[in-house]
Amino acid sequence: MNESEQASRFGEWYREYQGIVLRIARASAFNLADQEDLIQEISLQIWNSIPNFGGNCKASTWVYRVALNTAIAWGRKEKSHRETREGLAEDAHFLKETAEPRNEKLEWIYDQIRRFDPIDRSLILLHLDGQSYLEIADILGISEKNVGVKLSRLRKTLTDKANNDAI
Amino acid sequence: MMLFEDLEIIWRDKGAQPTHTIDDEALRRIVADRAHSYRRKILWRDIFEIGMDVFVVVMLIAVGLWAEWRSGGGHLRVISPMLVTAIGYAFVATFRFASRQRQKGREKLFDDSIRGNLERLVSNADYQIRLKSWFAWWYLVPLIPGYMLITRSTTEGAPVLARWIFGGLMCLLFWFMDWGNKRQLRTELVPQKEELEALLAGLENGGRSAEIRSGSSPSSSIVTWSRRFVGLTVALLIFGVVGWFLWANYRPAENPEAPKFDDISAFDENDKARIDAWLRETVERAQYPSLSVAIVRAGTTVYEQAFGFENTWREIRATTNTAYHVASVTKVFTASLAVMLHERGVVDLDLPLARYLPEDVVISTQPEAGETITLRQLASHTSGLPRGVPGSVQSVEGRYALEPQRLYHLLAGVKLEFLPGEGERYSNLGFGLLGHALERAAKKPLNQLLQELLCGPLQLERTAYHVDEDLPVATGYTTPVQLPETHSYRERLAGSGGLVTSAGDLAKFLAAQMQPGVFTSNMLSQFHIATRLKDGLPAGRSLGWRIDSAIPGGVILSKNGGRKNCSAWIGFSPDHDIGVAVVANIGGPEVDPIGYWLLGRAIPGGRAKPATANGAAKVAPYSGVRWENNRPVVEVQGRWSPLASIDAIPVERILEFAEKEYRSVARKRFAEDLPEVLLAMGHQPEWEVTLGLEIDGQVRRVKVEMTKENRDRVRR
Repeated sequence: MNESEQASRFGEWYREYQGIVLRIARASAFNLADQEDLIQEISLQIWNSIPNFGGNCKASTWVYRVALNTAIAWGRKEKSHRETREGLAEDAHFLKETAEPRNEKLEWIYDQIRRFDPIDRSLILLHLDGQSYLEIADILGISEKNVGVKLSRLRKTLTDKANNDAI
Repeated sequence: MMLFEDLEIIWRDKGAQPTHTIDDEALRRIVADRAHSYRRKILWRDIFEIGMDVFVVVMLIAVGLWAEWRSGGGHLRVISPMLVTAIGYAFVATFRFASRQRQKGREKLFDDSIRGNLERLVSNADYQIRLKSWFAWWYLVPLIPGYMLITRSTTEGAPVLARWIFGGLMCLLFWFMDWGNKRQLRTELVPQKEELEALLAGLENGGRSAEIRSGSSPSSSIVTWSRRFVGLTVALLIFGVVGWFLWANYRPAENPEAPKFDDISAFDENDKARIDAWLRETVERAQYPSLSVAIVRAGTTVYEQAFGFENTWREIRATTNTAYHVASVTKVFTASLAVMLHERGVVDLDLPLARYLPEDVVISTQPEAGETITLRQLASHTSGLPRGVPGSVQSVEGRYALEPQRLYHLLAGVKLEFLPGEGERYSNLGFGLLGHALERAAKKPLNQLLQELLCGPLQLERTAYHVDEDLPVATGYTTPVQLPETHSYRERLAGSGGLVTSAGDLAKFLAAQMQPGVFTSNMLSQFHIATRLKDGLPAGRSLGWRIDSAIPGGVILSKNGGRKNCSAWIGFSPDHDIGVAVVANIGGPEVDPIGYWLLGRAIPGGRAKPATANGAAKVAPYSGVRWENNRPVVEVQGRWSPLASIDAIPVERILEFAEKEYRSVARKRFAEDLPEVLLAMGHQPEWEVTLGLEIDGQVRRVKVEMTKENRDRVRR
């Protein structure tokens, strides 16, 4: 695969899946600057992964995998990212704010998700995005049954909290 | 009451999604840039790593070759450990690189499932931890032989303390590197791995991973500890085996011990067998790589034998024809040449050295005194010149060729220790200058003079100032660790210490020194009789020889020589026409006592009694005497105690006699000439005397051998 093919595949995936990347970044990083950083990192990993994509799975599954793995790795190094981020701030102005009004309830959900550990965060994100148990199992590398067990517990935790906070 | 489905609705509400969009073009540019710079970084890192490894391997081989070349070459003993080290290092480096490449292919890819990815990260972290915790084994152990050789080479000639400091600094450096690694392990790598394992655990079971995250899992710490235990055990085992091997094989060399026999002057088969047995024992005890001995009487060699190997690595047996470096024994040869050239009118020993040097050469910081130094004074260590050569006087990497200009230049800065002819000071510089003056006067190189005047007439076939590449020389070894060591003549002059010769040739030379032949009677008397100082008193030396008396049978003329890699002694009794030559290809223990012991026992009656009507041996039972309340306190085997009696004669009686007999020098005679004093008062001492020493308030009787070494120490 040459570089122009790689670039065109990248553009194609981006148009299609940039929502995924944005959501994962928003659910993993607390502020806009960190989100930009993470988006950059995820994009780089997706770019690097393109030659390895053999079409054995859906493109969305692939993108989820790369994005979630990158987010987990990024989260582990968050501290060092914060320290080195200053240099990046200058050239990383690719996030453009939309005119959409902020949704308080959505903010609450993101806030809760950020508080989960990376595995639970990945699970609930995939679930909210409407991925099937089979797909989630495939992305996480665990059994469908295990996904079910974990998700029912997470669903309960989240709804309990929602009722508690009376959103 | 809110349901999860309500949350899903909020999430999927398109209007709430997303608050930001991505500037596609800008991001693509950044990503492409970063991908490119990442690839470049990896490439440079690999190039740097391979470069470093190649550099280290090349360095190791180069240092090995260099050390080999410095030691004269031929024996693979030096280059071998370096090659082994280089191969070991290359092996480790290749292994390291290959394993890194395997890891690297997937270092930064995240296309596996989360679980697969985490497992890979754990194994990556594991690999890093292994690499760091085995740092010492990867980088230090395979290189240790190399480090040792490098340390040895770089501290060549430095004092022992400097070597230890250098070694200590190296150890400190490695310890610091290892400490840094361990710290990184503790503060970074291990917590990282534990975090990853906690995440994995969160995937595995149905429970919440957060609970596991709070502490490291017990099983992983057991694994770590058992690994540490195995590592430690293996390390201890290796060190134990190596240490045991070294300990079992290492035995420090001991000084030679006096033989049990007293008289070998008959030199019958029985005597020779006794000498053989004793020398064999001595070689074993003192760990000489080889020892070559010859005894000559009335012009005939009555005993000659060589033991051990001239090259221990190649196991070449030493013979009495094997040539050895003999260091300062050279001086008697140079002095002999001087006397011969004097006899032929080529030089005049009583003329100043300055006459044989270029006119503008300034001798010493006191040029007027320096100009009066005669060749005879140079040949008898009475010139006032200091012991050492003041700097590098040799060209071509320290080999023989003298560069006179360098010598002249240094000579001007030399300080005289006394005015010429007014004292005695052993001087290598003096003999070097003598040799140089002879060369200039005869207009022939020193070696040519030696070959023409001595080697030819005496049929010395293995003797030369070592410029002759065709004359193989026994490999010299250092002590205490026996390593091959080829001496450099950088700060030594040929006339002072450049000779190579065999025990057999030395025996012939000794024979010539005793009876007229190649040397006339007139020449011999100059060798045998002490040179006079300006005040008319005899010096302790004749031309080239040291004069002393360790036996009652008269004087012994001797000359010893020694360097880091050789030890030699020759000596003879002109009265009894017996000479002994002993040479060894190692720096220590010195062979001087072996020579003295053999010579003393080879002289009829020489060893019979320490004092006879003919004279007394210059020996003492104690190595130090001091006076407290007019009573002697003596040092015996390193311990000071008041002396009560000698051979059951009360000390008071001996002192009373000495004071009556010797007056003002009574104490001196008591301390230094005990055999003579005892004989004079009618007591015939044996070589072993019984001293009554006051130890803890009681008088203990201790049997002590009277030796020349003791007396030398008393005199000091």
